[in-house]
Amino acid sequence: MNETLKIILSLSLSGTLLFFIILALKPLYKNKLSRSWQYYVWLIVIVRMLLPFTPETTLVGSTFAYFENINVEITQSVPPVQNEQSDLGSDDATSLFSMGAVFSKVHENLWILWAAIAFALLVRKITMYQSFVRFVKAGWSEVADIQILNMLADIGETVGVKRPVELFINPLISSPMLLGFFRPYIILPSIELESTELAYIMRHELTHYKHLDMFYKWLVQVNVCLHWFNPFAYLLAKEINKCCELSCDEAIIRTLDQDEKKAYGDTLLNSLKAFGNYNDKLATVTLTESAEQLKERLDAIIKFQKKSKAVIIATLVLTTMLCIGATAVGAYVTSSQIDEESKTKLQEIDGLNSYGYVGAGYMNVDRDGVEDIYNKYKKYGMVRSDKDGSLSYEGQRVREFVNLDEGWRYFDDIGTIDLHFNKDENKLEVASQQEYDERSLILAEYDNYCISQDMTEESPVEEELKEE
Amino acid sequence: MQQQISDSELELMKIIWGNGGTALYAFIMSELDKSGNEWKKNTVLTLLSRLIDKGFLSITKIGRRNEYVAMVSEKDYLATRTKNFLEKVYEGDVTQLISTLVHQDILSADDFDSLKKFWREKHE
Repeated sequence: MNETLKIILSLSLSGTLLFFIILALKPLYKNKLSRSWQYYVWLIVIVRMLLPFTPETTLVGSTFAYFENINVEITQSVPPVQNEQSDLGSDDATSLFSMGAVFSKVHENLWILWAAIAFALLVRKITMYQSFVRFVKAGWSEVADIQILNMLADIGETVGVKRPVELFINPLISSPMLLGFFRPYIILPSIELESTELAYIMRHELTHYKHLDMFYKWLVQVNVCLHWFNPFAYLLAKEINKCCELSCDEAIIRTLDQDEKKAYGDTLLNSLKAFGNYNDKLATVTLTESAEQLKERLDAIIKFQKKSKAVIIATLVLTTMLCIGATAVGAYVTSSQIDEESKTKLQEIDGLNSYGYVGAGYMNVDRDGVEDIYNKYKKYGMVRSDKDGSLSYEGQRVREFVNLDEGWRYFDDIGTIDLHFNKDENKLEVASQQEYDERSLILAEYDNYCISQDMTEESPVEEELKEE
Repeated sequence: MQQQISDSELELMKIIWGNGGTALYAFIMSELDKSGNEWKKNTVLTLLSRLIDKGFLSITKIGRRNEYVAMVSEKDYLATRTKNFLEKVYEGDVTQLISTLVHQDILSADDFDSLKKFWREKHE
């Protein structure tokens, strides 16, 4: 399986796990913690699903590593047959292997399908939004009433929006809305309203702008596009949209007295009267998303209470725990990245074949082998000790020297430097500790594979030791 | 085609025309203050940007401040608006318009005399 696909699947898995955890906790915090927190906490999940960062050992990482080992065996059992260029269909066994080859090929390129769909969805969303904006702009007219414009300016000041916000009317839209990311417009279905209602509507939309809800919503939509295959991404989007409205209401409610709260609730109810039917949930922030949700919002308005210090502290603790949880759940990225890098390095140095595993059968060299190595590399500076036959280079005892092309490995555990042969520049080079570490990982993996395939030949040295 | 501007936008244009066709934002605000208009800062900014979008104004920066420049002269504006009015309300019938003015005593005898004089001068 391709790295990109692995990454996206693991991100999806981590995100879904986090989604469940936070959702499971909801009954506990629903009425105790602030709605704003409940809205922003989902950012942890979104970020988790969008950014492939992770520490070394994680829950999902280990899960993926386990599945990948099985995967490695499957995909590695295929290449040897492909090397022989067998005829398709001429032989049952070979056609089975060819199917395996096709399967492997599809497997490798599945990520392209994912990327194409994700991209197409994103483009579609953007064009739908653009045509919606065009539609709204085509039918709108400016609000010229100075009193209303002044009210808007005043409310802008109260809410803390410094930019001048344009105000338009379009009778075809179903509910007041805010458009625009950097130059905001508020569009109303009508201005034939009580000034108090008008004021609450403006306050609501401006609060959305102040909180940058349009950006959050688009981020969520991008997430839905990338994780199009994951049904929970859609549920997450729905949940966040609900919390968006509740959070916006809460910000306004906290400054209102009992009577004003009722007036605000009435405004929400009245706005549900159908002015028009054209609505778009993508990036517009509207007054009311739906009638069902309205009940929840009205409830919240009635039940609103300012949060005590204890609750604020509990909120902080919970948030921190969730963030830690998000990183611990993790994604399968780090170790597989190392694999890829070191494999490429090994390929550069030692000429691995294109399937990325060591050519058939490597052995630890015996004494004769060491002799051969010395003879071959003495012109590059390799030195052989008279006392114990060990190899040295530039005055230092060699620890590991591997040639994967020829399929041998020299190893002396009291050596101090590692070597590799640079074919391009035709010379021996000292390898870094990192390279040694990475190669050890690969070789260890290959060891496991060889053992599972019964491919190992014990080196003569080991056989000798056994006999002793 | 000249776009329609609202009454408040017209007021702003008049301030700018009255200042020779250009005005700084600060000047506009102080003039509004003088005439007793309590327009909020953002309201004025909104109206000014609408005028820019409609092609009535253009904006230049003088140092850090914005200067608004009239792109349509007062004469041109009056001409267009009057023609539109005549078309819409009187279906182009000028005599009807004059007749209304006379009937309603909007056109006084003195007005008529200066009108005759002006007419002769224009057509010499």
